[in-house]
Amino acid sequence: MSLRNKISKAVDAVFVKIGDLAVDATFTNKTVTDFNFSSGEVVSATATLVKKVVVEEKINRSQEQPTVVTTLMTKSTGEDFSVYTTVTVNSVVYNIISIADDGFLVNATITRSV
Amino acid sequence: MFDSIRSDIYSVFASPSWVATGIKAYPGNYQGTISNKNEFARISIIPGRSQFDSHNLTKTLTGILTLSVFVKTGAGDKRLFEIADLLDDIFEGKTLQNGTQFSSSALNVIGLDRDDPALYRGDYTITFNKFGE
Repeated sequence: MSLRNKISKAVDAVFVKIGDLAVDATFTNKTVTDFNFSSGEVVSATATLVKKVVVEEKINRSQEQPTVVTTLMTKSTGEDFSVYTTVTVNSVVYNIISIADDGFLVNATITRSV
Repeated sequence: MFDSIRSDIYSVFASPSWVATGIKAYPGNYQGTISNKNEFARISIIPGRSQFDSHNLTKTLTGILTLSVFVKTGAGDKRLFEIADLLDDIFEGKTLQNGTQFSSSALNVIGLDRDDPALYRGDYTITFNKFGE
């Protein structure tokens, strides 16, 4: 077995072992595809992707405005995460600030205002 | 008055006769997908000077409508001039439904687009007046 497959299987095993600590997250990508001159509004399409994720939450304060900054981790399965702008975890919508995909794990920093 | 002018101009680009030209137009502050990157136009409505008429205090507003027309680089400038003529047929000397009146047009050939040299650009400009309100 190649080293790549070995690591990939280990990541799978971790997500099985943590059980319900991994929760469903819906990544959302809203794309503006056209402009409707009759309504004066943009035409947009929304695409979603559901993945099992692990989240770690902390609260930052910037100019006395508390902001929830969350680190999110999920298994990399080849999707292009750069197109997603928001993610919903436990019915809470977060903005995706940054996202990194090393081919095994996807790590994202997501935020929401308190 | 301002939105009435916008609505007037947008109605042109929503009309079946404009749609039939096949030229996609996009308004200012549009950042979405451009469906045909080889030929499209960007609309800028630039309101200018306004004044009250002396007796009945109705307002007169003047402004400029600019369409930045983009065509494919390397294919000559014929298409650019054709589109300018199409725009003249629609706007020059015409009064739109909400009363926006257009005068004479000009075409400023810019050349290769600074942001995308694959596009050749010309700015079609035409002044307008709106009376009343």
